Amino acid sequence: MSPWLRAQVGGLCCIAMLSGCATGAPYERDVAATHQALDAGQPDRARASLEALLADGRRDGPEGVLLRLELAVVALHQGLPAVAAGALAQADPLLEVVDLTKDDAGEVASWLFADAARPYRSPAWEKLLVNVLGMASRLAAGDRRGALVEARRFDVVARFFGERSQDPGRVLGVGRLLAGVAHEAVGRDRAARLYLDEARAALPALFTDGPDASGGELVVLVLAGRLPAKVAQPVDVDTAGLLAVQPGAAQNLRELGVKEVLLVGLAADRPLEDAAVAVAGLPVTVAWADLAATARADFERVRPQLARAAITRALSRQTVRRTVASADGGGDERGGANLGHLLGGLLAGTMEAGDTPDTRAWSTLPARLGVARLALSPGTYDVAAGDHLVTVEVRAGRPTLALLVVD
Amino acid sequence: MRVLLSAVAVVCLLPACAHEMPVGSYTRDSDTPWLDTPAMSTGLDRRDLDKMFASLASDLVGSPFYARAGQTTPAPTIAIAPLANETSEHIDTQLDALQSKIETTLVNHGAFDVVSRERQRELVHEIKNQQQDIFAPGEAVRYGGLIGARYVVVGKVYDAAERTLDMRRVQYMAFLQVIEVETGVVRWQGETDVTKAYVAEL
Repeated sequence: MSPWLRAQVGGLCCIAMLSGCATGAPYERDVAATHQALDAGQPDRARASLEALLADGRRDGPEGVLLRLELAVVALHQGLPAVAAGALAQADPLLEVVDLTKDDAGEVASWLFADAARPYRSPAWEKLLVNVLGMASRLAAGDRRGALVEARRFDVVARFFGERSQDPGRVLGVGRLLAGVAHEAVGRDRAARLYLDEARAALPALFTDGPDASGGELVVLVLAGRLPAKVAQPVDVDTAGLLAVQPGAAQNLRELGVKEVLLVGLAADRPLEDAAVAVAGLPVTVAWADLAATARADFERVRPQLARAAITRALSRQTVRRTVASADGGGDERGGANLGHLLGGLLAGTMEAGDTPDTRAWSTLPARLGVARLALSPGTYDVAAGDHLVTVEVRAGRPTLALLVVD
Repeated sequence: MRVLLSAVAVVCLLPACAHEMPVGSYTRDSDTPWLDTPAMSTGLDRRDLDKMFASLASDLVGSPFYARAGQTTPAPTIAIAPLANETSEHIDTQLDALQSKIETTLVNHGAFDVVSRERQRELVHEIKNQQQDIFAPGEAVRYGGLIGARYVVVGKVYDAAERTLDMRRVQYMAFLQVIEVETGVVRWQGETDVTKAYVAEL
């Protein structure tokens, strides 16, 4: 074998080895138990499954941040807003570090080995939701000063994304409303008005009759359903070429004997329970932020790049298979050629096995986020969303937040 | 053939990569002198608190107000209200620590009789139960009056937090005041600042 071929095979072996190191099991498999428990209406079991994953050494890995975010939503399912606030506060700075860190090696790895080889980076709307849910959790837990800190964090992130013209849908409107409520809760009415004026533009239905300053104010936040899951789907090479906006790609893949490429897609929307909101038995107007639609739009934006990366990885694998198989094919020993074919297949198979589909996402997020705002006399009220009911006490001069999670 | 065997060995080694074992060990500052040096977050660490405290405490202790108080008999009473976190970081615990450091200085210098935190805790709890903001203007003075102190130390920490594509920067600005409860007059004021950031590439 020539020194050139020898070097080539050595390099390919290294690539294959790195591919094995770079990836692990798909994220969707890790959190399947959490989803099943939530579907069965058992948030305690869902939390236990997440805590087991965190204790299993994933705490410091890239998925550790995501698991903390999942834990926060599960804690809201459990009716434990203080636990949710703690988990969000842990995840928030970690997300930021990942977001700010340049990861050239991870970018290269995503094209060579697997998308999941790079740390998970949250899209803009997910980052804003960290602080939106942070504000809501702290207000629901009675931590008004903590809610104010979350409102300021929200402001920093919203300003950053605003300057970059990234549209996070109505998440901004819900966030500004909650930021206004957080300021009202500590008596900072002037600052509150500024936020509420901004929220009015995004959620005009909530501002038809402003709250009576002499009475109380109730803000209802409803988390309904769950985002469509990211799933790995085998796709024929023609479709993959179309999705990648690379018409020549299908031809190249077919020439190398590839018929299918594994791509990540979004599952169909889950059926949503009726989440009509009533306070003291009377229906109220709810403004909904359609997070599922936001997630879908965001996914469509990145889908061509994901498809291009998947095609590139498939091509790399076939190149490895052919190069190794041919490396010793011209040798004197007949056994060398056979072993070459075997090894080529082994290496390509290893790379294929290491090509973990990137199904990572903040998967327990609700499909829809609803918010309602009412002026009420001080007193005790039943707040219902679908079959779920909470009882809250509305006091004069300060807002009260009712937080409901509807499966 | 040799290459092929090496490659087989590599393939056999691949499963070893599947489980990354954590490496590292616990240590302490006396064994690892640099331990307290690196910034670990944009929050406040002990080094930041020491810097803020050193600046504020030296200003206060060196002030004419402090010198006058030291000559007063009996020593005037002073209470320290919780420091208000007006930042975008969850640093309440660190501000409690800063409050304690200021209290330690006041107690040990002996110029004032310092009202115990235990006595104040009940009042803070009561004010919070009344849905009042302990950090609101005027509330701290009322707080000092209720506690029977002649002076009350109040403080706030603000920040200017900004985010760009490759940096999050938090500029902290701390202000401390000593207010005479009877008159509401500010008898001393000090300020200090600290900047923390996460930078993609330094």
